[in-house]
Amino acid sequence: MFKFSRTYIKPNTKLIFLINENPYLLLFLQHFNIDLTVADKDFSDLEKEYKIPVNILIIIANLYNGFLPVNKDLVNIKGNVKYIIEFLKNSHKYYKYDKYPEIKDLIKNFLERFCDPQLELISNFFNEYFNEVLEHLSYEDDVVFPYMESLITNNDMQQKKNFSINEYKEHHTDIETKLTDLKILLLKHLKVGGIDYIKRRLLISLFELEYDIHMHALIEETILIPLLREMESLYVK
Amino acid sequence: MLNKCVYKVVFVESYDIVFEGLVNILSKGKNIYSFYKFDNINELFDYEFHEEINLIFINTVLIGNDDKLIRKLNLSFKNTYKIAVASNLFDPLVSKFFDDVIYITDRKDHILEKVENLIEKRCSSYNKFSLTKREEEVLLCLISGYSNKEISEKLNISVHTVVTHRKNISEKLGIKSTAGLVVYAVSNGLKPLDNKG
Repeated sequence: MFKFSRTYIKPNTKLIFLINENPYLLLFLQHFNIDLTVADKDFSDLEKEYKIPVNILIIIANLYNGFLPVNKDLVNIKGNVKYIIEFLKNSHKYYKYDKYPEIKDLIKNFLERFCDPQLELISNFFNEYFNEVLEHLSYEDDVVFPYMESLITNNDMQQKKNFSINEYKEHHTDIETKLTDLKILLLKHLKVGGIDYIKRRLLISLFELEYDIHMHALIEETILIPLLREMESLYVK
Repeated sequence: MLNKCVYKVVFVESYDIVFEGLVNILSKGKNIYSFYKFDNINELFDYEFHEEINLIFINTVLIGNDDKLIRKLNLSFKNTYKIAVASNLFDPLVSKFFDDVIYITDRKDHILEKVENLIEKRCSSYNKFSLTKREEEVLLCLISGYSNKEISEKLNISVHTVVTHRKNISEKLGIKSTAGLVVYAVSNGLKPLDNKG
C-alpha cells in the first residue's frame, strides 16, 4: 500500500524508499535517463554513476515530492542549468512519443467500443488540445531552449536575436488547463462507457500525465526562469 | 488536483525532527500541500514569493519574545494563517500574535484537526453544479463564440458581471477552458446559437 507522507530528500536518501512512497518519481528517473532498477542506491550514488550533480537531482526530486525550491536551492545549482534543460527536453520526448499517443489510443479504443456522440466530443477536444501541445513543445524545442543554451555558453550570435526570458514567460501557454478539464468531464459530467475498464485506464493515464506536466511547469517557473533571468541581466548592456 | 485547493505551507524551522514530523502528519490528512522550508526567519523575509502563502509554521525558538519581528511577520503575511510551533519554553503571551499554537507534545490527530479547520476557511468551493438561469445564458453565449464584451451587450449586463458569471460557472462545473465548456454544454443538450447579434 502506498504511504501518503512525502520525504524531504537529501543526498543519502535511498531511491527504493522514495519510489515506494511516491511512484511518480519513476517519471523523474526516466526523464534523467536513469535506469529504474535502483537497487540500494541513494542520490550520491546516482551522481557518481550518471554524472549529474546531486543538487540538480535533489531539487527536481523534491519538487516531485511537493517541496518547492527556495533561494538557497537555486544558488546551489546555478552553474548547472544545462542539466535542467536536458531534463525538460527528455520530458518533451515522453509527452510527444509516449504519453499523448497512449491517451489518443485509449480514446480511440473507447470510441470503437462505444458509439456514443459524447465520446466524439471528447475525441475532438483531445485532438485539438494535442495539436496545441505539440505547438507549445515545438516552440520550446526550437526557440526557447536554443536561446537558453546560448545564454549558458555565452554565444553572442543567438543573443542578438530579439528574444528574452520575459517573452517566453508571456508565451508560456497553459497546457495544463485542458488536461484537467478532460479529466473533470469524464469524472463529473459525461456518463459514457459505463463500468468498462477502458475508462479507468484512460483516467489513470490522464492523472499520470497531469502530474508530470504540472512538475514540468513548476520546473520552468520556479527554477529555470528565475535563474535564466538572472543570467540574462548579466548580458544586458 | 481535482478541483481542490493546493495549500502553500511555509515552515520556519531549524529542527529536522519537527519539520519532518509535521510534514508527515499533514501529508496523512485530506488536503494537498506544497511546502517551503526556511532555517530562520530572516531567510523567510528575504525570499520573494510568487504566490500567496496559506499557512506558516514558526518554531517559537526562532522568534523568542521579539515584538518587532512578530509585527513584521504579521505585516508581511497579512492574509496568511500563522501557527506557532512551541516547546515548553514558549511564552504564552506571544501566542496572541498567532492564529494557533501547536506544542511538540500534541497528538498528531489534534495537530491535523487544528490545521485542517484553520486552513479550510480559506478555500471555498461550490458543492452543486446547478447553474442559475443567468449563468446558463452566459454559458450559451460562451459556447457560441461570443466575447465577454459581446455577451455584456447581448444580455445587458456589465463586462465585470460577465467575468464574474464566467468565474462562477467554471468553479461550479470544475471546467476552465471554453473548449471544455463546449463539450459540457453540447453533451447536456445546449446548442450553440447560430448567429451573433
